This record gives sequence, C-alpha cells and structure tokens, in this order.
Amino acid sequence: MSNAHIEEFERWSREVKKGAASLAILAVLERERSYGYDIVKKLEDWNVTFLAFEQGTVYPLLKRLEKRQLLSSTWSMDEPDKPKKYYTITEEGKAALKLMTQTWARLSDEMKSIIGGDAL
Amino acid sequence: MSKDPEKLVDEYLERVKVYLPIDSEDTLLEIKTHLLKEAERIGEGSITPGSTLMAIERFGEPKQVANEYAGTGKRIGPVPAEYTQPLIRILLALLGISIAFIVGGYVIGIAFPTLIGDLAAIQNWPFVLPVMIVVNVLFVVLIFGGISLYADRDKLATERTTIEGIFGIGSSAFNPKSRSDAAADVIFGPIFGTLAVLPQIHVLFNPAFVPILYLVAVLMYIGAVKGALFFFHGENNLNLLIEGILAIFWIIIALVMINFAMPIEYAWNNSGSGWELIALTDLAALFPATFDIFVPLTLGWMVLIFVIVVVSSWRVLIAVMKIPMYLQAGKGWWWKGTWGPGRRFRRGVWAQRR
Repeated sequence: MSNAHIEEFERWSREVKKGAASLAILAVLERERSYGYDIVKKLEDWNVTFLAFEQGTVYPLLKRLEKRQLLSSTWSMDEPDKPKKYYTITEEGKAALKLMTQTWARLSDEMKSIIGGDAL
Repeated sequence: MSKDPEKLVDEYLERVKVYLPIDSEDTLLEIKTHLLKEAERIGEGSITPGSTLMAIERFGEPKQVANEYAGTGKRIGPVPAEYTQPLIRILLALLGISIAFIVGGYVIGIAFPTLIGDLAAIQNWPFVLPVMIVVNVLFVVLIFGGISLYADRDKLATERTTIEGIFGIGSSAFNPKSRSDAAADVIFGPIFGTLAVLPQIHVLFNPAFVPILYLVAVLMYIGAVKGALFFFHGENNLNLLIEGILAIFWIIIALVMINFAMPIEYAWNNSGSGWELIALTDLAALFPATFDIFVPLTLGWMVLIFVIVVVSSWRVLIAVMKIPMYLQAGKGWWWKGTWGPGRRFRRGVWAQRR
C-alpha cells in the first residue's frame, strides 16, 4: 500500500485547519481582546489536538484578519521590553464570526448525515 | 556562540527579516515578544539561553515563518516563492543605487563634459555601473550559494546561513537610519553650518559663491534638526518627508555649485608671524609647470558634488518608496519608529497604531 492516503489526509487536514483557524481566533477574541502569544496559549489551554497550531502560523493569520478589517490592533507598551500588539474583534469580525459559526454547525450536521451516524 | 538571550532572539529575527517584505518591523517586534514570553515560560520564570533556543526552535525555521507572513506561491518566473522577497529587496536596492549614481553622473557630466565624455567613450559611463553590480552580485550568489551547502550544516538556529548573509544585503539597504548617523547629523550639522557663515571662511571663496554658503549653512542646521528627530523618534513618515525635501534642496544646490569649476581661491597660511591669505594661483606657481594643482582640486570638487547628488538622490528614492508604503499600512505620519543597524528592537517600536 502506498502513502497516497496519508498524503491526501495531510492535504485535507491542512485545508480544514486553515478554515477552522480563523473561526477559532475570532471566537477567542470575541471573549476579550488579546495579543498573539496570549491567543496561542489560550488555544493550547483548551487542549485542542487536531487544531493544534504551529506557533508561527497564528501571527500571519492575525495579520490577514486585520488586513481584512475583521480585527483592529493597538500596541501596548506596559512592558517596554515586551511590547504587545493587542487585537480586538471589529463589528465586521463579529458579523463574520456569527455567519461562520452558523455555517460550521450546519456543515457538521450535514457531514454527520452524509458520512452516517455509525461512523461518527 | 552568543549567550545573551536577547541577542539570540535578535539574530533569529535578522534571519526572518531576510525573507520578509520591506515593511515588517511590527511583525518582527510581535515575534520578539512571543519568543521572550515563551522563553520565560520554558525557563519557568527566567529567560536563559537554553530556554530561548528552545522557544526559537518551537517557533519554526526562519524561511517558513517569514513565508507564512509574506504568503507563498508567488513565484516570479524561475524564482522560488521563498526567495521572491529577498530578491525584490536586492533588485530595489540595485535600482535605487543605479538611479542615484546615474543622476550623480548626469549632473557631473553636464558640468565636466570633457572628463565624463572620455569615460563615456570607453565604458558607457555611468550606465555600466548597474550592469557591473548585477553581474558581480550574481557571481557572489552562485559562489557563496555553492559554499553554503557545506558551510552551513552545523550552524545554530539563530545563525544566518551564508546565502542569507548575501540576501541580507538587500535588507540592509532599506534599513532605517542608525542612531549614530542621526547623532552625526546633530553634531556635525551645526559645526559645518557655523563654519559656512564665518567671514574668515567666506574670504577663501569666490565672492559669487558666498550666498551659496549661507544656503549650505541653512541646510546644515535643518539637517541637524532632522537628525535630532531621527535620533529621538526613529524612522517615521514625517522624518522621511523632511529628509526627502532636504535632499531635493541639496540636489538643487549641487546643480548651482557645479557651475563653479572650483570656488576656493585662497587658503590660510601661517607664515610664522601670523595667519595670512595666500592665493591658490600664487601657490600654483610654486609647483613645476607640468603640474597644474587645479586639476586635483577640481576633481576633488567634482567628487564632493557627485557624492552629495548620489546620497541625496538615494534619500529621495527611499522617501518616495517608504512613505506610501507606511501610509498604506495605516501608520499615518508620526509614530515612534525604528533605527538602523546597531539598534535594539525594543528601543524602536511603534508606541501608537492609528
């Protein structure tokens, strides 16, 4: 048996993670404003396994979400040696999160039906 | 191996920077905070070289980390995506340097057609310059790229590879002004500005050149103010704008200055009984008839104006390139900016966003 199924699984995982990551970050920031390292730690504290982020990938995602105006940011200089860039979810971000959450729930239900309850 | 944790982090960030777009200082600062926090956590409250290296390793390989930011898949022709950003930097630097030298060569060429005319006949001056630079950089990349395959095997995660050292040329060209350069403006601007308005200096020059000395003094003093702004606030759009406008005035003055083949006509001489003025034409009589002292003096004058025009053109190009880039990033005109090499990231940060 070749490794084709592993490769396909890895490709599929990357795509699923990519979509889930922005939803997870928006959900974290909806609770309270936060900075990159804090977001990484919060996600780790939830003991996520499949969605476990590479630390370096969270920051580019934050930057992209900010560029798309779903997040805004301000620098905090409370610790001059460790300045923090705090991210806050915008109204656009909240609206996107609502839509994404609804869609995620619907997708989950639909996939259960398609794959079959026994398999899940 | 460096043992200072913060230096380890800075070295790692220098590696990441090589692969990032020009405007990435905030990204680097964000990563730095992450690494220090993570190192502190791993070191259970204290940041040690070991915990820092572990934090760096967890964060990822510099090229991959940078590509997550810059985006992958943007291949330009045969250039792999991960090398697009460093190559863009190098090409921009070369283009900028070439334009600056061509402008400088053009200005000098107008005033000294004979000298430059001879050069142009032989070497296609000054257009040969960018071509020579590109060819030599290609050779360097090929040679060191080959060497790096062997030389970089045992390097630490924080140490630059040989090829990154070469790509670093591109990132260095766009570094903000260093604090030492800014300090030099603050110190030397008033010194030379004051010298330029002294009557004892004016008597050395062709009387028609004296009004230009006053203009030079004004620019020197404004340059000192600009230096102070850079020294205390680092690079931001307002400082870049002031520097760009100042550079345009320097180019204009250089265009006027070049009309004087050699404006200095006298020199101060101490005869033993006191200082007295001596005319350069009298000085020339002391030399053999075959040696014309005005030739090296004129060449020196030409080089001085060439350097003024090249440096000023480069500053105008940098301002034109960076100001729209910073505006597009939403930074406005004034913030606490960064400084060039020798700097510490923690001292140059944007205290305020938007």
